[in-house]
Amino acid sequence: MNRRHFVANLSAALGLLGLFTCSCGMLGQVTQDVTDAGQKLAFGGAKAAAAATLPIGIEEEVSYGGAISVMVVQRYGGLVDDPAVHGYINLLGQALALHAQRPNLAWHFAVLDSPQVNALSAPGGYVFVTKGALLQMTDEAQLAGVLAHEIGHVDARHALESIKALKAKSALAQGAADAWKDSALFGQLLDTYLGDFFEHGLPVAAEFEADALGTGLLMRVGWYGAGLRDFLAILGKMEAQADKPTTAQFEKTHPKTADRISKLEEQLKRFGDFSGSRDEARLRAVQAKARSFKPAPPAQAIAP
Amino acid sequence: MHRQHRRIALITGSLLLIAVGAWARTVYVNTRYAKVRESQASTAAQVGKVDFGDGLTVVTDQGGFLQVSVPNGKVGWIAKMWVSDTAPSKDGLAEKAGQSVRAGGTVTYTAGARGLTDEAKTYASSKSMGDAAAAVEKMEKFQVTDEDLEQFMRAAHLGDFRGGQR
Repeated sequence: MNRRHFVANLSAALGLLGLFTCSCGMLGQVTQDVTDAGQKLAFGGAKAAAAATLPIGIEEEVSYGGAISVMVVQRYGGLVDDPAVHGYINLLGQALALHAQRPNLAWHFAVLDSPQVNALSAPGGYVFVTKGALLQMTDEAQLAGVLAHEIGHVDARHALESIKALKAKSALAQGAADAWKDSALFGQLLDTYLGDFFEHGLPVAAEFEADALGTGLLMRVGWYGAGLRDFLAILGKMEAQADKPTTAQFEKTHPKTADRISKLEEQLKRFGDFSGSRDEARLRAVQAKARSFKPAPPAQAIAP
Repeated sequence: MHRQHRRIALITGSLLLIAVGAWARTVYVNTRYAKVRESQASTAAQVGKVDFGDGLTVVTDQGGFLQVSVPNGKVGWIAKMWVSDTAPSKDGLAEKAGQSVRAGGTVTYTAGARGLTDEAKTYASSKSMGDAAAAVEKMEKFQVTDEDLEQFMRAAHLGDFRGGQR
């Protein structure tokens, strides 16, 4: 009788163990499926295939990003080279980057000395916002929202995917893994990418995805979740009025502002409570510094 | 007979131990770094600092926090939002704070001061954009220390210091 009891216990224990192991396996599979689905959603089937055949390592990514950033700085009139402005934008940016999807990238943030209202990013972790945009903002959550949107582009490798697609069609596709180091091929690829980027911007779907990722990041770090939406609302009013010269480039390279606001409203509704930090004093102090910034005059040759 | 019972009991016990071991849940740090503290309060003493991708064994699951065992063997609390059930990809782990390992294995730049790569410099030079290249290199040299960042996040109620989290 006792023996039968022990054997029954043993069978039950084995059964439980089997069931448990099976459950763990299934749980792992479900998690993997969700992850895979997310990756497919993020990159798209065709893009994922291109990524598989033409992987871009961090050194190559940073090289493209650095070169693109130089072009951005050149095109937008240089940087607001003021320590207070630089320090503030980097504190905000690093607070976001700490919790980004690619937190180990060497992230860098700067304000472009341009009256244009825009923000841009480049692969490898370079993020820019124009002085024109900074001066329109009314609280810190709006600036953090714009930076988070740009971080979203880098996290999701949006520009890099476009570069990969161009690379697949170029002579680089037939070359060795380090063929991108050929300065002529590197230059041709970037010229093509930048021509399209400054004319049309990133794909519309990438902009919507960066809005969603950015707003998610904003909430994750603890800023007021509607920061990006609020800034887009300000921009929408500018577009409707007489500020076309400062918003023209932005409008040309982004989806309709009203559509973006509408999608963000849906996302915020799903969050429910999106309260958070939205300081105004720190932003105002930095806006004053940026407003009074005067670039250093070009160095003049000393007469002999 | 008695001996046989003991043997069966031993086997059952061992299987249960294996099952308990398999049940232990591991979570992975999903931020650049996070602090594990003695209690759930953001003012509590730090038990350990964990980095992106570190695996932590869960001891207790309580509200928005997990009590975890950190790599140094100590036990402390971490907010759930700073960990994930899945480990980050190898690519993500390789993007170690701005360090780039070239073919020869030498780290050629460090976080905050890496400078433009030769390819980017050559591109800038080919377009006569020397001033813009210098501006980007200056932008890269700017560093925010972990202490400055923590002070800012504390003042702005962000991250571990966000309102109502702790």
